[in-house]
Amino acid sequence: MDFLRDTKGQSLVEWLVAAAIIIAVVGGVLLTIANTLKGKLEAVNNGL
Amino acid sequence: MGFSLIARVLVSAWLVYLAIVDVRRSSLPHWATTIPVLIIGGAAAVVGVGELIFPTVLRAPLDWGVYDALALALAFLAILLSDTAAALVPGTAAVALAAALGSAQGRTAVFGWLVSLAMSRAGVFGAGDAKVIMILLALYPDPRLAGILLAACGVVGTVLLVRKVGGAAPLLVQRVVKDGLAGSLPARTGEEGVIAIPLTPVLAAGALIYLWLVV
Repeated sequence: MDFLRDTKGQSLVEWLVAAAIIIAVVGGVLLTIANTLKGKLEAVNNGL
Repeated sequence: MGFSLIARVLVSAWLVYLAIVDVRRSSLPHWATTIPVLIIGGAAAVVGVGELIFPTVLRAPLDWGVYDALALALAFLAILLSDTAAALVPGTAAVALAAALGSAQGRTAVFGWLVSLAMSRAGVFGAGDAKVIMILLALYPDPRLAGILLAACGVVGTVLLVRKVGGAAPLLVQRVVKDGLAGSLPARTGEEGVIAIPLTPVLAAGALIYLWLVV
């Protein structure tokens, strides 16, 4: 419940930049994989 | 939440108020952050479970399906259990449910909630800021909004970092990424950071761009 009790509104900028880079890179890779997989599975499905 | 003029004005006023409070006090009031998260999480649980049991009686809000509401309810359970490692169980279940059976809207909200929770628990930003992101992504579960908020944080953070440490910024970020991957998170080490800023004004700017210029 600490998360719900906490009201802090400060951010550590260097960590924020690093997190933004990591989320963008990991998110981009996952999105690419998901889209590729979706396309392949749709092709298999259409071939049946 | 809709994109009517009244809805946009209300959300904009809420964001501007929170940005001013955050700059002045570096903390955000419970009534404008915690209470809405509790209401949204509770509503997701009631609607998700209710629609599963009584599909003809309850209808999920927005265009969400039953699995989106259930996944968000599991993410809310992860928040309630976030003091312990037990939060990983509903968190993982929420990701799996949203990824396998959820819509794009549901995935955006659920992933946004869990990433915000993780960032807050890691000490990257405050719980108040995390709750603002959660409320925004529950009201407008749009991948474009998530992208704009992420870009706003990245751009503003990079500018502030370069102004403060100049050419050493890439090396500093590289060191932080290494520390993060090694598990030396600010929440564990008590690191104060090179620059600490109120994040809500940045989030508010991103959300206002989305509300008034993008949609």
